[in-house]
Amino acid sequence: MDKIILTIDGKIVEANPDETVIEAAKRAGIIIPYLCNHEELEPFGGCRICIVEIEGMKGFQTSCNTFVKNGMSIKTNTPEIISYRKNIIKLLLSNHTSPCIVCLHRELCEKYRPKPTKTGKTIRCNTCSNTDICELKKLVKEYNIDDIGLPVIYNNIPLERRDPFMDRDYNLCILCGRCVRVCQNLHKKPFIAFINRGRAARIGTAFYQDHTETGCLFCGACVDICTTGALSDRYAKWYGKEDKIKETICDLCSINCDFYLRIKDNKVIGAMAKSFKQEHKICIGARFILPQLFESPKRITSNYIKLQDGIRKVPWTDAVKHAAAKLLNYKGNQFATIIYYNALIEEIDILKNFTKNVMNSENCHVVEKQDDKIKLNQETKAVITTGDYIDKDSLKNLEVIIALDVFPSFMSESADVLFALTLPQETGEALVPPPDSNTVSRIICDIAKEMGAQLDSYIVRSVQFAQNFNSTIWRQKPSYRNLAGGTATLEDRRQEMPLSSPLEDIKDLPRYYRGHYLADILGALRTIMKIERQEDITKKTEFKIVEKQEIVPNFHTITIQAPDIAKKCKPGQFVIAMVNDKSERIPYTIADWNVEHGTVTLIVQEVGRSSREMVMLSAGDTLAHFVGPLGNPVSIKRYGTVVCGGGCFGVGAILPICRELKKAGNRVISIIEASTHYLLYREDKIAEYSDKLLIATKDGSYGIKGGVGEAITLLAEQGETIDQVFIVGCAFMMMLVSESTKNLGIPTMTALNSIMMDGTGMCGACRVSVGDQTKFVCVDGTFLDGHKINWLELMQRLNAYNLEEIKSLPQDHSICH
Amino acid sequence: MIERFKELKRKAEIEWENFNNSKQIRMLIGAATCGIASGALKVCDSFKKEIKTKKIQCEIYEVGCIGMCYAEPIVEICLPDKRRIMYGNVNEKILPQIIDDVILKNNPRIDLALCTTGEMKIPGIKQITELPMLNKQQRIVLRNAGIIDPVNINHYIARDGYSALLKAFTITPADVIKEVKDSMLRGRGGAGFHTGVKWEIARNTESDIKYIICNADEGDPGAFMDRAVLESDPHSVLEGMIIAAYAVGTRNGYIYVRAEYPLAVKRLKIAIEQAYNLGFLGRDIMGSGFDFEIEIKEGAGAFVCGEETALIASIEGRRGMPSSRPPFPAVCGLHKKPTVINNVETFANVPWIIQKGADTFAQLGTTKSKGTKVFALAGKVKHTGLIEVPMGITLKEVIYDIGGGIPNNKRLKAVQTGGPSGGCIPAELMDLKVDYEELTKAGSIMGSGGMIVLDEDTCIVDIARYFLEFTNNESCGKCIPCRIGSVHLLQYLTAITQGNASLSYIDKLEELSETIRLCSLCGLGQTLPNPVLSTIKYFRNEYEAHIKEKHCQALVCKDLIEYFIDIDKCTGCNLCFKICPVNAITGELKQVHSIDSKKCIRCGQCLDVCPTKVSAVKKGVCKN
Repeated sequence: MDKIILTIDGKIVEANPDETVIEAAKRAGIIIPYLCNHEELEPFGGCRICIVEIEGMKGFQTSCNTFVKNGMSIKTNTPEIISYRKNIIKLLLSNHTSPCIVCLHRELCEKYRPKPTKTGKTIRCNTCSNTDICELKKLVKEYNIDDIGLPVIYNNIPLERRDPFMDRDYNLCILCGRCVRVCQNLHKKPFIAFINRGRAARIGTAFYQDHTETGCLFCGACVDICTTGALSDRYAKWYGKEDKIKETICDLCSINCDFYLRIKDNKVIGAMAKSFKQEHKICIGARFILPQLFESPKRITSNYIKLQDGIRKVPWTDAVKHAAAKLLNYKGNQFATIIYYNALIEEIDILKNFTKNVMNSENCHVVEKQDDKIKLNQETKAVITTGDYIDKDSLKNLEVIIALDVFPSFMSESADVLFALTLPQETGEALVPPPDSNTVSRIICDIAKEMGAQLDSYIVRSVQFAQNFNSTIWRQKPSYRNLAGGTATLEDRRQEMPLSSPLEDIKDLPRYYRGHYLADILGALRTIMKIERQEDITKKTEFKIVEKQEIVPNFHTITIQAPDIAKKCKPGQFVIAMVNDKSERIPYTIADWNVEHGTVTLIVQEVGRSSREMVMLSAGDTLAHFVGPLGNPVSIKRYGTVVCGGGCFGVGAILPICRELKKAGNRVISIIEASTHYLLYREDKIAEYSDKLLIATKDGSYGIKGGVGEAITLLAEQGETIDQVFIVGCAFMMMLVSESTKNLGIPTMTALNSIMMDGTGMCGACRVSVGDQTKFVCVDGTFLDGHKINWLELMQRLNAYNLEEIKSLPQDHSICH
Repeated sequence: MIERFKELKRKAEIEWENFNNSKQIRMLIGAATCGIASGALKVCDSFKKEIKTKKIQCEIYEVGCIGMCYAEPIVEICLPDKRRIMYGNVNEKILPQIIDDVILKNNPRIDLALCTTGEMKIPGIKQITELPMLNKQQRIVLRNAGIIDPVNINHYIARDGYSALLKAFTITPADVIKEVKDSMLRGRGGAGFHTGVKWEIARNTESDIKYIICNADEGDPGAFMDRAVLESDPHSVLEGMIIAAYAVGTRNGYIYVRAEYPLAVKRLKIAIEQAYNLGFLGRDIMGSGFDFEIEIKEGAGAFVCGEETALIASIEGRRGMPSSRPPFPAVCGLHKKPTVINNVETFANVPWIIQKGADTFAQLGTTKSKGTKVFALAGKVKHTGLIEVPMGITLKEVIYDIGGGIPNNKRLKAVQTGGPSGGCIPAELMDLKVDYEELTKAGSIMGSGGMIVLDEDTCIVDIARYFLEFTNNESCGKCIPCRIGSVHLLQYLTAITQGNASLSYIDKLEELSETIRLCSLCGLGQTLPNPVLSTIKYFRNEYEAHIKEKHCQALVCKDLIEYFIDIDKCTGCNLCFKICPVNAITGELKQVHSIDSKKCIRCGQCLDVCPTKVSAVKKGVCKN
C-alpha cells in the first residue's frame, strides 16, 4: 500500500495507512504521552492524555485512536495542549492515592523510606508496591506537577483479597481498561468488565463474584498490564522491579509453555508472559505456581544420607559415594528406576542407560500420569526415584531408596540417600539453584562413575545439555519426551498441540508436581482446589478484644480487656502482643486505657504479617499473650509550653501524653500529621486536651502543607516560645522534626520504634546510638533525645529484615481479608 | 404496487370515516403514559362501570397524547350528532356529571368543557384550534397525536399514512435524499446534523450491509417528546425509517428504545406487526422489490446510550460506552458497517417532507433551522405539555402564549433548554428566537427538546447542581475529564449551596468546565458543564450571594435557610408537631409552637402541613 505523508510538529513523517497518529509519531521520535493505550491492545481513547491538535478538526483529538491521513498537520505539544494534559493528570491525581506526589519530603522519604508497608491498602505512593514502575508517577514527573489544586477524593473501596494470587485495590484504579481489554483478547469470555456508572464505575466481576468463582484462569495478564498498582501479584508485589528476565519453560504439564521468569538478586520473584498475544498465553501454572514453587521454603536444599544414628546432612561428594556403595549390592531386577512425569527425553535416556548398562535391570519406569504411584515388583530391593512416585505398599519391601527430589515427602523421609534436585529451568547462567543440588543427569552420571561404570558419550552430551538448558540449546528447539518415552520432537509436539496454554478451566490444572500434591506445598492453592483449611490456631481466653474498628484505611483501634495492665498504664508506655502462640512479639504504644473498664486501647497500623494477623481479629477474639506496660513513661512535669506531635500510628499515642501534660498545668499545643486528609483521625479527641491543635497534611489537602516540623517552625515564626517537644511517629518523620527543632533549639523527645523482641532489655535488638552512648529503647526509652539519636543507623537497622518480612507474608487468602 | 396500496387506503378510509361519523356515542381517552399517570385508566374503568349501570351504548377508544399535559386526563365525548367535546382534568367525581349531563341530558356543560374538536361548533366552547396552547403550534410530527388510535394502522393510512412511502418508491433513492437535503431537515436529537447529508454519506460508503437505527433512548430529565410520538403515532416513525432505509439502501433497522417506556415498546411492537401484515415491512414491500426488517432493542436505562456510539455498543451487546469519532457511524457504525442513526422526531418528519415536498417544509423556520420542533414544556408554567412550534418562534411566545405564563403570579427567572447538556436562558433574553444557532449562542443547546421554565422560587445554583448530579451519575466512567471532573464540579456546587465556599470557587468551576468541555470523549462530557457555565454567565450575582452572604434568594438551599413559626399566627393545632420526623418542633396543643433550628433537617413537611388559612410556618434566610 502507498505510504502516507503527514506533518507532526513541523516534521514530515511517512507512515503506513493502518497506523495511528501515536504510532507514526513514535517512529518519528516524537513521544506522545498516554496511559490507557498499550501497543499490544486495540486503542481505547479513555485517558485523554494523548490529545493532539489536528488542523481542520474541531477541538482536540486523541492520537491513540486517530488514524493517519495524507496531508494531516498535527501539533502535539503546544502550550495549550500541555496545560490541558496537566489538568487531566491533576484530575486523575485527585482521585488516586497519590499524596506522596506532592509531598515536600518525597525525595528524602524515597531515599530512607523506613519500613515500607508490606500489607494493607495502598494509601500513598511510598506504600505502593508499584511505585518503581508506576506509569502515572512517571507522567507526573515528566510534567513537573507539584500541586494537585483540587480536593482529593478517596473512594475507600474495600481491598479485594479473596483469591490466593491477586490483590485488587480499586482505589488506585484509573479505569484505563487495559485489564478488561487484555482479558477480552486472551480468553473467549472475559472474566472482568466495567461495572456501574458515574463515580461508582469500576472494574469488576459479574455480580461481584470472587475470581475463584468466575472461572478466571489466573493467567495474570491483567496484573502485568495494569498501569498503576491497582492490580498486583500478591507474592511478588513487594519485591519491586526485577533485575533481569529469563526465558524458560513450564514443566507442570506436557504443553511446556515458554515464558519469562522475573529475577531479582538471583531470586525468582515472579513470572510473566512473553507478550499479551494469544500465542504466548500462559496459565496459573507458569504465572503463579511455578515461581512460588522455585522459592518455596519447603524446598529440599541439601543432600542427606540415612545412617544408623539418624539422618545426616552431607556434602555432594559424600552423598554420591554413599549412594554408589549402597547400589553395589544390587544387580539385575532387584533394582529399578522411576523417572518423573514430564521429564526431558535426555533425562529418561540417561536413566534408562544407567538401569540397563550399569545395573543390568529392565525396570525403568516412566510415570505416565501426574498422580501415578508405581507398584514395584516383589523382587525389587533398591530404587532410584525422581519424585514421590512409589506406592506405599512397595516401599515396605525396599531396602535402598535413593531419592532425587525437590520437596520432602513420606518417601523422601525414608530414603537412604536424598539428593536436592535442580530443576531444568534453573540451570543456565541466570538462576542460582539451591546450594548442594544438581540435575538428574549429573547425579546419575556421578553415581555411575563412582560405581566404576562408563556411560557413553551421548549421555555426556546430555549432561552438558541439561546444564545449559536455558542458554543456546533450548533456542534450537531440542527434542522432548512424549508420554510413551518416545522420540517425538518439539516440532512434532507443536503441530499436535496448541502453542499456548490449553487450560480452559481451572479444574484442569495439574494437581501434582513430581508426585507431590501441589496444595500441600503451596497452601494458597487450597482456595482454588476448594479444599477446606483446618484451623490450627489455638486461642486462649485471657485477653479478649472488646472492640475493633478500622478508623481510616489501614489504621485500626483495638480495645483489649486487660485490667491489670490498665491499672498501671502511664503515658508513653507500650505493650507487647502476640496473636497466637506462634506469632511474632510486636510492641504497640498504648493509645489509651480505662481503669474502670479494665481496658487498654491500641492503634494498630497494618504493615506486615504480624500486624495483619492482629487486625484480622474482631471483637470477641482473644490474644494469646499481652504483656505490659513496658518502657519508661514520659516524665510529666510542668514544662511551660509543650508541643505534642503525632504522625500515622503516633496520633493515637499522643492523646494520653497530651492529657497528662495538660493536667500538670502545661500549655499543650498538639500537631497531627498525615499524608492526606483521608488519613486523619482522632482530631476531636486530641483537641479536647489541647490548648491549640494544628493539622498538617503532606499534600496540603487539609490544614498546613507539610509535617510537624513545618508546623513547629510556623509556630516559632508566630512568636510562640516552645519549651519542650514530644514526637511519636515513624522514624523518618521523627528525624525530620528533630532536625527542625534542633535548628530552633527546642528540646525534643522522640518515641523510638526499633526492632524489639523481649521488651525487657535482654536481647539488645532494640539498641540505638544516642550521642556516644548505646541505649536500649525498651528499657531506656521509649522516649529518647531526638537531637542526639543517630537516625540513619536506626533506619538502616529497621530495614535489616526487609526481605524476610516480605517472605513471611502469608499467601493463603484465608488469613487475609 | 399502487393498486395494492389504493385498495388498502380505501379500506382504511372507510374505517376512519366510520370512526369519525359513527352514529354511536364514543368516548376517546388520552391514554399515553402521561394520561395514565394522571389517572386515565381509573377514569376509563369508572366510565365503563357507569355506562354499564346506566345502560348506555358507548364505544371507548384509547388514543394518544394531544399534548395538553396540564389538563390530563382528557376525555373526548363524540355525540351522534357529530358534536365532539373535550373535557380536561376529568376525575371520578366529575365523570358521572359528564355522563349524566352530556350524554343523557344533552347538556354540553360549558363550564367543564375544554374545547370542541371536529367541525360542529358549540356556542360558549372554544374550538380546539382556538385554544391559546394550540393555535400557535404547527403540528408536523404530532400531526396524528391524540387524533388517531395508535394501535390501528388504518387510522394512520387514512390520514395519508404510508403514501409518502409509496411516493418515495416512485422516485430514485438519490432523489429521496435530495428531497431531504433540500428540506434542510436537521437531526432532532440535539446536535442538529443535516439528515440528508448523513444519509448521503451512508449511501456512498460501500458496504455489503448497512443499518438504520432509530434512537428512542430519551433520557433527559423532563423530556418526553419521543415517548409521546411513539405512543401516539408509531407508524409515522416506522414510515420515516422505511423511507430512510430505501434512500440509504439497507435491509436492517433497529429501534433502540428505553425499557422504561413499556407502553411505547408495546405500541411499537403492535405497529411493527401491523406493518408486516399489510406489507409495509418485510420482503418485497408493497411489491416494490425492496426489503426491510425492523427489530426492537430495549435499552437498559443508561443515559449515555443515547449517544450514538454508545448506543451501537449497546446493540452489539457490549457495555454502553462511547467511542471516539471519527470514524462516524455513517461510515463505520454497527458491526463496523455504515449506520444511519436518527432520532424518533427526525424520522417522524420524513414522511411529511416527502409527502408535502421539501419546499413546503423549508418555508417554515429560520434560515439555518427549518421546520418545526417538538418541545416538552414543563416546570413553572400554566400549560405544561407537549408542543410543536415552528423554528424561529420566540421564547416569550412559547412561555406566555402557548404556556399561558407563570402560575401564582410569580416572576419568570429563566428557561432551561436541552436537559442536562443544555443551559439556562435568563428572563431578559426571552425575545430569543428558538433555533439551533441562537440557543447555542446563548450558552444553551436545542437538545432533544426539553424546556423547563423556572420561576423566582428556583435557586439557580441548585438547578446547576441538580443537573450535574444527574450527569455525574450517568457518566459511563470511560474518560477522565467527565468521570472525575464532574465529581469535582458537583462538589464545588454542593459547597456553594451549603455556604462553605469561597469566591475562588467560581473561577475554579469555570476553569474545570473548560477542561471537561474540551477534553471529554463524547457529547455527554463535552456538554455537561453547560448548566454551570450558562448559570455563571447570567446569574453570577446569585452565586456570589450564596458564597459571600450565604444567602439563597429563592430559599431553596437547605443549609442557608431555616424554618420558623410566626408566633402571632400559630394556633397550636399541633399538626406540624405530629408530622416532624426529627421532633424538632415543640409546643403543647393550643399553644404557640417553635422549631429548634439545630434539630431541623429542613424537610419542609411542617410548611406543607400548616393550614393555608393559618400559614404560621415560614421559611427564611438562616440568621446564623
